[in-house]
Formats: sequence, structure tokens, C-alpha cells
Amino acid sequence: MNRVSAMLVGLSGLVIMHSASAVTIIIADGAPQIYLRIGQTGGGTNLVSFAVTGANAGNGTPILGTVAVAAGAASGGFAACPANHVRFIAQARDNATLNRVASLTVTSPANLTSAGGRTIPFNQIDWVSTDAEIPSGSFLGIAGQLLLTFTEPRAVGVCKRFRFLNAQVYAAGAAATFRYDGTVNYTLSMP
Amino acid sequence: MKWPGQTLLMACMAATLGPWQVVVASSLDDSASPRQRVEVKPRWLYQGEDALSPERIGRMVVDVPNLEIRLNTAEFRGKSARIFLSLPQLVPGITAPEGLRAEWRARGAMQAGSIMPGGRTLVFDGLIERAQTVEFFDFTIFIDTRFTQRGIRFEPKFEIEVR
Repeated sequence: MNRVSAMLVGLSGLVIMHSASAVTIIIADGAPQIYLRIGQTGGGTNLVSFAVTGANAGNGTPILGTVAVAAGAASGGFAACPANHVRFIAQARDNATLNRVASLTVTSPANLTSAGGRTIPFNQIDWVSTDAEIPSGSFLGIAGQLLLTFTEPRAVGVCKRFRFLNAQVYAAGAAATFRYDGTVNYTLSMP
Repeated sequence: MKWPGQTLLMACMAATLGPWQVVVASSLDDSASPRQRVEVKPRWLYQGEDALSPERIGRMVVDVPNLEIRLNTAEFRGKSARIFLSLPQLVPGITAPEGLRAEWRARGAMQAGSIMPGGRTLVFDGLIERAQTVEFFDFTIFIDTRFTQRGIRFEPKFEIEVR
């Protein structure tokens, strides 16, 4: 054997031997997780207000809603919303089952109501979204109105400006408040 | 008998390789370790609004504290050696190397470090004093679910090089 071949044999000794590993750590599935934020962080329900005056009542020009600044605060990678917009963030993730689909729905009552029992159909309120991920639309006054489906892992964030359509004249609310109220509830689920 | 050019070839190889030293790496048997199979459940690394970016949304972490590893070093007792912790390139449940990274802290003589699939990290450099080298590791394993499937198996291997 000449010296060249001896060197090659020596270098081949760097090849790692067979495995003798015995300790094994099995990483099980983690818990799936969904996260939903509507409006301000830290809980609480934001109030969107529409001020309809006698001069513009029922003229068909939508009345833009106003809301506290906190309702559109920045979050994570999402910048603060423009003034009087409401921040929506929906996130879903799961490491056990790939590509699960999450759904965002909203339940709205049939009507806004005044203290005196007068009503305005909830479908007289709509919204304009800053992003097509949650498209612009209007409330249907039903339970479980589907707004968005998306495949996890993903976080969706948009800002919405609510509007009262002002399509007709409604009687003023009760004398004490002159207002109509209604609450909508958003639900994020990942079956 | 030399064939034409042999001397030149040898001179070139010697210049390339420099001083020649054979270092043989051998796998160390850790089958005496008391916990052969450890099952752990990961948690999300970022919660709530801290997890909203695509880079963070799939990050999970799992802690494996105080894992006792007993290495059979009888064959190398009294020798100066280096011990490495390594991972194979293909880790079950991991679809890309960036899907897993492990960090550890050792409670004894071994060094802290980190590793990804296909990696090899020095954990000990010194005299092998005992027939069985025992170390307690606190592992923290980070996974990115964008690059994982179910059934992730983290199997650290220990290799020794005697000098």
C-alpha cells in the first residue's frame, strides 16, 4: 500500500459510527388556540354612536359612526386604525391538524330598540372595511351571520367603519335619551 | 515502485491536508439513562397579540428539565476526549431544519449549547474520568409549526472523539 491510499483510509475514519441513541423525547400535540379581538384590548364593549339630526334624518346619506380611539388601537403587527374605526383581529392556530378552518360570525338582533319600544331594523347599519379579508357588508339581524373563513395558522386584521344608512325617518327615541340601542356579538370558532 | 507523478501528488495532498491527524468519532451508548422515553406537550411561545406576525404565529416551545443522561464511557476512561451532542439531518416530524431548535443547560461539567437538525455541538472537552459519565440536562426545544408534522421525535445522540 502506498502512502496515498493510507491517507484515504485514515480520513475515512472520520465517518461517524452507528447510532447508539436510546433517549427519545416525544413532542406531543399542543393545544389549538383561537384569539379574537373586537375593538379595545383588555375587555369591555365599545360603543359606536350615530348622531342623526332633524335636518338630515332620512335623507339617504349614511351617517358615519364615531367610536373611542382605544377601539382601533394598534396590535402586534397591525397598525392603529384610522379615527372612528374599530379594530378586528382573528387568529387561529393548531399544530395537531393541519389546515383547520376557522370561522368568524356575528349575531345581531333584528332591531335596535328605544326605551319606549320603538325599533329600527339592524340591517340599517353596515360597515366599510379597510381590507377585503373581512369584506364590507351589513348586519342581517340574525344569529351566526358568516363574515369570514380562513385556514390556520393565520391572523387576520382589519379596521371597520360603521354607518347608519339613514334611508328613512324614524321617530326619536324615548324623551330621556333620544336613542336606540343594540348589541352585536362576534364569535370565532375552529371546529 | 512509484508511478509517474506520484511524488508530486503526495506533495500536493500533504500541502492541502497539513499535519495529518486521525480523529475517530464513536457513538456513545446512553441506554443506561433512567428515562428512555419522555413525552412532553408544547405550549405556544407567543400569546395573544404578541403572536400576530406570520413568523410568530406557529412558534411553540417545550421544556424538558432535569433529564439525566448516562453515557457509557468505560472504553475511554483516562483519555482526553471531546463529546458532542448531535442531531440527524432528518428529524421525525420536522419538514425543514428551521422547524426545530434545541437549547440546553447542563447542571454538571458539560457545556450549554444549542442545535438544529444536522448539527453537532461540543458539550465536553477534557479528561474522561469515569466509566459512566452522567449529566443532567435542561432542554428547551423550540418548534415552528410551519415546518412540522405530528409525531416529532427529538433524539439527541452523543459522540466522542479521543485525541
